[in-house]
Amino acid sequence: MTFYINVLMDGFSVLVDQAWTIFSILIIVVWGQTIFTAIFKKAFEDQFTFLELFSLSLAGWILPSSLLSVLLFIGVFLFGEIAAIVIFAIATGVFISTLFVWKLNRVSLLTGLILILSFAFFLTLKLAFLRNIILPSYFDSAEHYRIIKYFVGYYELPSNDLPLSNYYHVGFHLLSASISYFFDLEIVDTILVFGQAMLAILPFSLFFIVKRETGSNAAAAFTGLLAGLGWHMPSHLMNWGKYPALFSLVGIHFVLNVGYLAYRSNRFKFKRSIYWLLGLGVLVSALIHTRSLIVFVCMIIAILFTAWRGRLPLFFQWLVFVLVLCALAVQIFVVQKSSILTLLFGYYTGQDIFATSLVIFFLIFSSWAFPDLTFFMLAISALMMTGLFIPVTGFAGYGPQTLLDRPYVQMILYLPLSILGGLGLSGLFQFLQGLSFYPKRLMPFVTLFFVVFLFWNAKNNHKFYPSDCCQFFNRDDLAALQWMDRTLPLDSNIMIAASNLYVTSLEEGALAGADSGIWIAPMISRKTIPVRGNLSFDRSDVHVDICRQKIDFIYVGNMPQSFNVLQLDAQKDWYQIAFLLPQARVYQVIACP
Amino acid sequence: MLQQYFGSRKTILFILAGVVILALLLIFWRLISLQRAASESAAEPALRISYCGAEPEELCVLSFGRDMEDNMVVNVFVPDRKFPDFYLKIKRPSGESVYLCEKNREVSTSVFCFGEMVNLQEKMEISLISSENDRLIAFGNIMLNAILVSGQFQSESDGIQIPEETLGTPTPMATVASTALTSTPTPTFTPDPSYPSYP
Repeated sequence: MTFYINVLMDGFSVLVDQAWTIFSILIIVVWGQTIFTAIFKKAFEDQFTFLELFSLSLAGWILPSSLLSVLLFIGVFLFGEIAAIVIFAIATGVFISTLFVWKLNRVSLLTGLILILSFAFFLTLKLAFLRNIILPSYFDSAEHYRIIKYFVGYYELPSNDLPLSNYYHVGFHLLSASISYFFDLEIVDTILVFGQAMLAILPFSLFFIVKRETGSNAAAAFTGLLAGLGWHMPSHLMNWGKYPALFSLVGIHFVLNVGYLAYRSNRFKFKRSIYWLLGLGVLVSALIHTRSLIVFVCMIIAILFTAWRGRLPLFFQWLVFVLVLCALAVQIFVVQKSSILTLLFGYYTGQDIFATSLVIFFLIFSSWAFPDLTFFMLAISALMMTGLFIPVTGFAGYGPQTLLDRPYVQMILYLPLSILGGLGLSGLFQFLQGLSFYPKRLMPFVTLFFVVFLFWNAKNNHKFYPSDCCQFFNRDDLAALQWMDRTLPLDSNIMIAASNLYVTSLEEGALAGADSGIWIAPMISRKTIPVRGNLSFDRSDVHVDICRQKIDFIYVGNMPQSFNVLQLDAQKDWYQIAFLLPQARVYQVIACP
Repeated sequence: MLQQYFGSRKTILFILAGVVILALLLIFWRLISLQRAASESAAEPALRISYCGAEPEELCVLSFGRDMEDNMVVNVFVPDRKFPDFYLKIKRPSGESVYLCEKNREVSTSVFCFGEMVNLQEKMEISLISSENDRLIAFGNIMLNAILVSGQFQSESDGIQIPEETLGTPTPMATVASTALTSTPTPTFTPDPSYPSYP
């Protein structure tokens, strides 16, 4: 209990500190949620309970909000900054008229209170992550910062330049830039808080599918709890700075929920407009993260496969089920043999073993009570893992890749696992109810037992704070960058440490930032030259090479793969210290011929 | 026309009531903030400043350093984003110097100060003075024992072998703009996978 109180206290202190940022982000989420709910209710009338609709809208908000940010970009492109004011005024008007004219569902005080308290609890827990963080983690974040900064600058002073020729993850950046611009937020704050807010919202949107399939509120809520606290993912994404990937999960949850409705069209008054929603969901998800398209292809194949299996005689249905399980086992074996891919399951079977074991146990009940959805979840997992081995070359100017990379699959595995967990709990209820000696009043205690188990597991194994693995930036780096900004000429070339990027089975030595030097280009607009951190500065040919490339300065951060300061210090005739703090250094390259 | 758009007179009244309540809240908030500002400007006792701990929460000195122009750099942590702008005055046996300070634009709880170099082992009396009204915000005695070097830098002096290599080829990098560098091939080694799980 003390543990959670401490985490909540840390989260609360962030909540107070970032109150305006949190409010601004939640306003955009509520705006999107309200618009989506009104449209959905108009199309499907009152076929869904308040809780189902609320859950669906917590994924569906992304559609109107993303489209608003795209509209803002196009408006500013065509008509300049005045378009931004007009668009936001219209958005506010639409919001108010939706609230009053379209008469959204009334909700009982108790339900509303439970929802608000659960969300506040999750949000505060997730905000603790930001207690001592300075900048978003790892190397991806610097790029997200740069692109959002570009868009915010674009809204203030429109230009025709694009942020990158091969840039394609536009959704998250446009959305963040719109919020940052409209509410006058620091970009860093927007990125950090938006990520944590999404982590708090995501689990709620999984309630829908399990509730519709099982009819059990308890099992559906348990699914959300599993998704929020069961595994290191999706929370660990924030340590990787993979914000677009996190936001693509909102789109994936939405498409999964609506796709499920389309598949179970016989269970409600079906309307073709559901396909429009699906199409829009796919489009917005692809805008946020292109790789989500691969997940949707896996979904389609898995649905077809599930439908085909449903037509087989019972024996063959189970045979196919076992075959998919075997395929998964083989894939897991192959993945474990690969030094690059082995991390995929490392944590799920390490620290997360209790939650994973629980789901494996529940698999017995979910496959018995809900064989179709269970099979679908297993099939989609197997298909996504197959994506790790299918090569793709030359997409958007990048080198050899695979359809899905290891971090993406690792990130998304919590999704089938959580749903299997929820289905399994409901299956367990059904099994227990079938027993003649089982008193029905015990049901809430069974749920409570598993909820307490999850909280106990999260206390011991879930990380609520940033991991040392990926914190590139410290306050000395901040001072170093500030000094560089005020001292170094704008045309300075600065060498920064990089390391090889290993995320697929086909890597060919692409580089990724290895320390805080990665923030120099986006933050202070100096040109950086990434070079592997294990460079030997005591060799004369290296010095000649550095001079030949017209490198003026070398930045040394405080990560294991940063440049070697002992070698730099030893070569005083070639590299002179220009700035020194305990955890950040800048060397000037001298004695160039 | 309004009635036609919003549905009923009741709805219009609701919206108007909402607007009035919002306006009243804004006025109330403004009054509170003015009152707070007035009370803040009243005399406050000066804070104490010392070295920061591992996770700074109060006003403190994060680190000392130096730059190429032989300035001393003082990295200061301030606990509040709205902490007033200030400069440093450092008194030491050989005299008194003023150090200009700049808040970081991105992370406003970090302040970068620079000025005259101080000798090692010299005792300093640091004062934080408000740029706005020259009010003493904080003071403290600090001794500069050394320009500290972090654990990461020190651990490398314990003899860790760094593989030899010339400048690597910066192949297309997803995160920064890079120039084309010619180089010799990278030696093979067991790769550290990117995007690690927790250490």
